[in-house]
Amino acid sequence: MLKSKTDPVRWLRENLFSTPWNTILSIVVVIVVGLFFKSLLEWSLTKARWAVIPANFRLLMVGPYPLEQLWRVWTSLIAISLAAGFSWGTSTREQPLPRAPFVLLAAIALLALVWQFGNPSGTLVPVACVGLVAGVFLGRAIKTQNKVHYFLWSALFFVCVTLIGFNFGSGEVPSSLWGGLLLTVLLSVVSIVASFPLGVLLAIGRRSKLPVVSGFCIFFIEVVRGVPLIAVLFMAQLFVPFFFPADFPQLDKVARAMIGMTLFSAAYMAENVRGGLQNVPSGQDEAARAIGLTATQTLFLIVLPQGLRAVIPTIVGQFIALFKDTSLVEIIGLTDLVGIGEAVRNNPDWLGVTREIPITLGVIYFIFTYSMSLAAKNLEQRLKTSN
Amino acid sequence: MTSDQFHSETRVPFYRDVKMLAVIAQIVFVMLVVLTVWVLGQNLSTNLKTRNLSTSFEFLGRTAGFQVAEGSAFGVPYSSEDTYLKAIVVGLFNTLRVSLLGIVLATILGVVIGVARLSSNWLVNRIALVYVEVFRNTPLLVQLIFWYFAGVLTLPQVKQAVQFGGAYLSNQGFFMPWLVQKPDSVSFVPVWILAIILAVATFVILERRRVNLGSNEPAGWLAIGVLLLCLVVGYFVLGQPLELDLPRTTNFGIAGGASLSPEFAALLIGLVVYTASFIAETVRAGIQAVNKGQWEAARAIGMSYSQTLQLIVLPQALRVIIPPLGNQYLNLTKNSSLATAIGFPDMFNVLNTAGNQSGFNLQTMLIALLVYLVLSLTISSFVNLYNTATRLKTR
Repeated sequence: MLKSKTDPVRWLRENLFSTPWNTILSIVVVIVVGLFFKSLLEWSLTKARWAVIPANFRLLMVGPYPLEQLWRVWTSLIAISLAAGFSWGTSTREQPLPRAPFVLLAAIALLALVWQFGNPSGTLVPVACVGLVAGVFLGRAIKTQNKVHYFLWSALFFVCVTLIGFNFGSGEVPSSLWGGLLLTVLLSVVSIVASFPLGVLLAIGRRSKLPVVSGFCIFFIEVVRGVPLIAVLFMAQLFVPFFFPADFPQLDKVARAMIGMTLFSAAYMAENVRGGLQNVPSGQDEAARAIGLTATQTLFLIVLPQGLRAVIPTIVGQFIALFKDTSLVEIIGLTDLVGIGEAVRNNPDWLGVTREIPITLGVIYFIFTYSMSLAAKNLEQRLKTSN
Repeated sequence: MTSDQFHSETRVPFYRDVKMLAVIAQIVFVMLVVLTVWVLGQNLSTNLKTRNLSTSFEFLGRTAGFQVAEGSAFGVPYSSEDTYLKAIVVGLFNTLRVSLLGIVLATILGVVIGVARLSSNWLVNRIALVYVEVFRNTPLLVQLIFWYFAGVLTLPQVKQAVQFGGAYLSNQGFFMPWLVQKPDSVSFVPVWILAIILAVATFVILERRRVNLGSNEPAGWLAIGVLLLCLVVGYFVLGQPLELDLPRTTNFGIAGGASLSPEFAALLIGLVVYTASFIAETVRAGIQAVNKGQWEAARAIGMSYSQTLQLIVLPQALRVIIPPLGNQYLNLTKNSSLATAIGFPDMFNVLNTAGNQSGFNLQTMLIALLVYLVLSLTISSFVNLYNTATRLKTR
């Protein structure tokens, strides 16, 4: 491998021109891909009106969130980047420090500084980047247990959601004012967190020896998994109010969407968790019962900890799918990232701008989902080696 | 102390008897569920009463009064004087049409990309990798919006439509030449049925011969040959009942041939491109799951590359590929409900319109739930059938 890298001619011969068939294939592919990139480049440099993105950038990020309350989002972002850096640093303690992510972060910070000079984002994006880097070094320096991270992230989840959405001192920001990427992230994070306990309960219920309990769980799981998310979302919008007494305070659109997504996600979570529980060897269960643990103790102290540990990568995968799926709330009229994108596309000021917005949205989603899938792969490797 | 006494003394009290406890736990569970359902049901019925909503399905027989942009049920087109039921069935046919076509095309594209991922040609496998990562990691909805608003709708107008080989691409849709029945000629449908039956029979017989006698005819090719032969013979025997209908521009747009509406085309492209990226990963994983020794052994006993692939690797890979592939088919069918976002009248879109227009939202959503469940169960039972048929047979 190393040898072929040092000799480009040999590398080319081995990888592109090994047989006549491969040679023809390579030439055809080069021509097709070349033409594709040429027209793409031509379009994006001459015809595309990229100005639409910076002009609507705040809208795409936070939607109609009030300007004077934006500090709440910034505080959350900086806290999250510190914590993310901390966890990342801890998890890669034993490995040498990779250089590429830091170069990327420096580039992002510099870009924000130059483009958004004078705006709050021009100063606060670099602060978040510095926070992330500081977190990494902190995480590498301090030896911590996993418990600390679990606690940190649960605390951060509640603090950030409260900070962004609820009242304390300077008034409440109603969920009708959440939007853009902020709403996308909130919807997906809240639903996955809320669906976790539900999913674990359903998984345990499905494995139960009591036919009534397992039948009920199977029914719920299979019905929800057999129906498209968009149907679940519409049903949540239409029917959730019907199931509450008339004098009950009305739940707003975002809360109803969260209920729908949580129920939907719980069914998939249940199947993932069940897979994990099935992989715990039955000897564990039997040994625990033999030393006198009760069935409940066995479940919570022996089976669940082992089973859940194994499904963490799968849950990350599910979160990625859910993160993409939140885009469907656009169809029920919420202003998430896609909803804002559609609003901008329909704005008469930007008539004829059709490709720029979906492409940018795709890139934003891609950055999130791809980095999460890399993290999941890394996690899977570490779980494998630590077992 | 008699044994009877001994027995009665150590009998466990009912609150520690595992069997009794199980029964009690289930009764409690059922009571909890019933209680919850009852409370929710009470709320629901009072809410329905205060809002004056009915729970009957009689609206299905009423005149719908709204347009369904395209589609037909059992070959009968829909008009706005038809009933709600008819509109919903037309929507269901649209869903089935796009799902079936999408499943076939996504499988073909997915297999090509999955095999390309394993190509020894660096360029080819890198491009396949980029394809998979890009389309798997972005939401289908964003892709659909792109294909529809930034793709199909930005094609030239009818007057300047892109033409090649008699086909037209325009923002009014795709048009291509199609074989149609000549007016007052003998129906060609029986020939199709006969040809398919004969081809399948050929394939089955040759496969059985191959399994039993070890003969090595190319069964698939021969079956396709039989199919084509039957069609050609039938065509001339019936006195050439078919003709090629070429699309042509008229003052009102393009007429003739087979056409795809812009919405249908965008939905189909979106579903195929998105699902193919998942299928490609499934195919790659399946082929990689076949032990390398199988390849080497097959080549060592003198099989050619294509024989190895067809007779050794693919049958084993398929066993790994089929279950997740079935899942992808299911996802594609469910994802076709995103048609609502670009205005294609699939079943969910029609049901939603019907519900909003008649006020019978509760009923239309229930219908959606049921139909999607039936579709899901049908697909998964097909997959299960295949699974049991191809399961590893151990003695």
